[in-house]
Amino acid sequence: MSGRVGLEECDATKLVDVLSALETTRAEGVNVRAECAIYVLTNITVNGLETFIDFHALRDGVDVSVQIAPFNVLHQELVSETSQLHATKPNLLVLALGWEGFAGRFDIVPDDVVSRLEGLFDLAASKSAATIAVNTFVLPSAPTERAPAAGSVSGTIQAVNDWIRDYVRAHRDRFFLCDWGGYVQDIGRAQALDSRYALMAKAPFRPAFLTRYAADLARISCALLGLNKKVLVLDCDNTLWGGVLGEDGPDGIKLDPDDYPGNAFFAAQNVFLDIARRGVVLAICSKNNEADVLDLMHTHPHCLMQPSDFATMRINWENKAENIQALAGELNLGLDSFVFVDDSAFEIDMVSNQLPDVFCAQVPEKIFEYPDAMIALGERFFFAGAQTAEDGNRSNLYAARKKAETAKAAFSDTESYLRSLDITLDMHQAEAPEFARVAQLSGKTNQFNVDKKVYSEADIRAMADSDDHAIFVGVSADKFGEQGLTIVAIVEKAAPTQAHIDSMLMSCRVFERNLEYMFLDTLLSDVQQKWGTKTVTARHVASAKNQVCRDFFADAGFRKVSAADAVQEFELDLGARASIAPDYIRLLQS
Amino acid sequence: MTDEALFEKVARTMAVVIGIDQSEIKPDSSMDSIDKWDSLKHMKMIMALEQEFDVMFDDEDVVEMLSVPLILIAIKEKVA
Repeated sequence: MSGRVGLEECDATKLVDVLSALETTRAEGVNVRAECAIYVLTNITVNGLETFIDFHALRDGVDVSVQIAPFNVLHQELVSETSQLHATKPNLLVLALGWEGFAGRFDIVPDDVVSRLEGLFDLAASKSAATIAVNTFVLPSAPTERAPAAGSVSGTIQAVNDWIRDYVRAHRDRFFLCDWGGYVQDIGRAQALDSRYALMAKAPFRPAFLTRYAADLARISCALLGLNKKVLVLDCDNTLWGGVLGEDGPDGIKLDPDDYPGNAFFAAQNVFLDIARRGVVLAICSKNNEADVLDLMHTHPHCLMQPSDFATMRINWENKAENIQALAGELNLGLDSFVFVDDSAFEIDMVSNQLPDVFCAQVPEKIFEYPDAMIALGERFFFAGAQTAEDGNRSNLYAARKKAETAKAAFSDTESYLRSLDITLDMHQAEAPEFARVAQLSGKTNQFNVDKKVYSEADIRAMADSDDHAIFVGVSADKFGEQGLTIVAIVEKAAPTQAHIDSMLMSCRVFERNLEYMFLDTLLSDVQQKWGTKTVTARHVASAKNQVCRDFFADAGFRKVSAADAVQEFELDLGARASIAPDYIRLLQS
Repeated sequence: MTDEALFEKVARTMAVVIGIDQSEIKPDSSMDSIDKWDSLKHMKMIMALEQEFDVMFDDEDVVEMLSVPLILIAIKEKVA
């Protein structure tokens, strides 16, 4: 239980873990976006609540000071001008009311409770300038599905709860609701409630309940301080649908609501659209061909999300951190109002490194956990109760979209990030056990594939055995792990001093690392030595999907010798070439 | 769990909750010898001990566990 556990990693229900994480975080220094004073008036004991509020608020960059008034001092604190409450002037006033203190008898009628509550709520609203959080009451026993008879205690509590909901709805500019009954239902009575302490010390709640309640109060604090997240940026492949559109095609991606795992992605789309209805701006940041994505959205029978659901999109092959930075400029919103969801550890790490203010969430590895994880994300950052202030903003955000062209992004240094990844490339001539993989890649790689030719394993073997072909393969790794055999080039000895790059392809798993330059640089040196080659030719044959590598040879220093765009011919004189190998990739040659 | 490991874990839990250095928790410490161990901290501490040892103390235990020796006895009874 020792060790340095941060706020995000620790078990939010465990008091000791939470206290330790708070201590560690405070000692190491934390980026505080705002401060918030919370004052709790209560007729029960909520000992421990202050710690959990502290924890949840600090996780979202809010430094709270929580004061809990003496037990069962409600009206006096509100009425007396010299009370601690008025000295504190809290941002958030919490009324934490237990049923027993309000009604301890079986025969109380709803109207009596309601009139007392209404008096208290109105008094709180008139005597304090704070935002006010109230709660529903917990039913005395579990089965809530059963319609309780009027006059029963359950029936009375439900009637009072209905009234509380209506009151909060009618006063939504000032009041927020914390649904205690909902927490208990969610957590389970055994985990949420402690009848021993309830009776011994009027302290009915166990830590699992307190942390849940505290999380809600922290969200309310964020909302009233205007710190709610405003933009949800989504990746496409393996985030909006299962699979890679550029590789699997519109018919191959997984989004079928009646089939696993497509249904998980379908459900996630539902969650995202629900979040958008709270006034949250959606955006896309994806490495894809824009036309393919738009086409998929328009035509796929199961794709709920449509281009019009997104305020803006960045579908290109650029660095995602730079794209998100540009989005912030375009929407005129701070990066700390952004949440970014992607399936790739690489992208998540890159964005959270370069843009630490953006909250990054990775799609869970176990896809069945994905929809619930997104619901929790929505609850945490796009708190539904906070929609009123935000609703109006959305049209402004759309208008901001038009400013895209003028947005100037202060790009962070991508190279230094790549440098931190310890990227290695093991490059060699394909060996027999690799032929099958090479053939497979030739068939299924559509995006970075300069001139797609599908070869069989036998074709590959024949070329590897011949004297006038060389098959280069690259196996890449970085600090996240190995990506495996991901780059292939087939070079043909076309004339005594001339070689032709027949094929070159790279899996989309390793885009954005500049591996292709290291690979090509090494390939060119090798053929020069091996065959005495003086000129190398190459070709880019445009397909529906390979725009990503359209300029690759030109960027690598090749001269374009044809006029056409559909088939570009390139040539390079090896005698005069400059190295294009990035110095942050370590080459392992075997 | 050995007696030493048990004491170590109890002391750490108490120290974190009470907000003092672990070295201040001695095998014979009690509510009288540690100023910051008040009744509110006591309740929180019981909560934390129950979570750390995955036990549920009886109603009498809760009010009687006012010193380290008594806490150790109560936990041993529960985990035995």
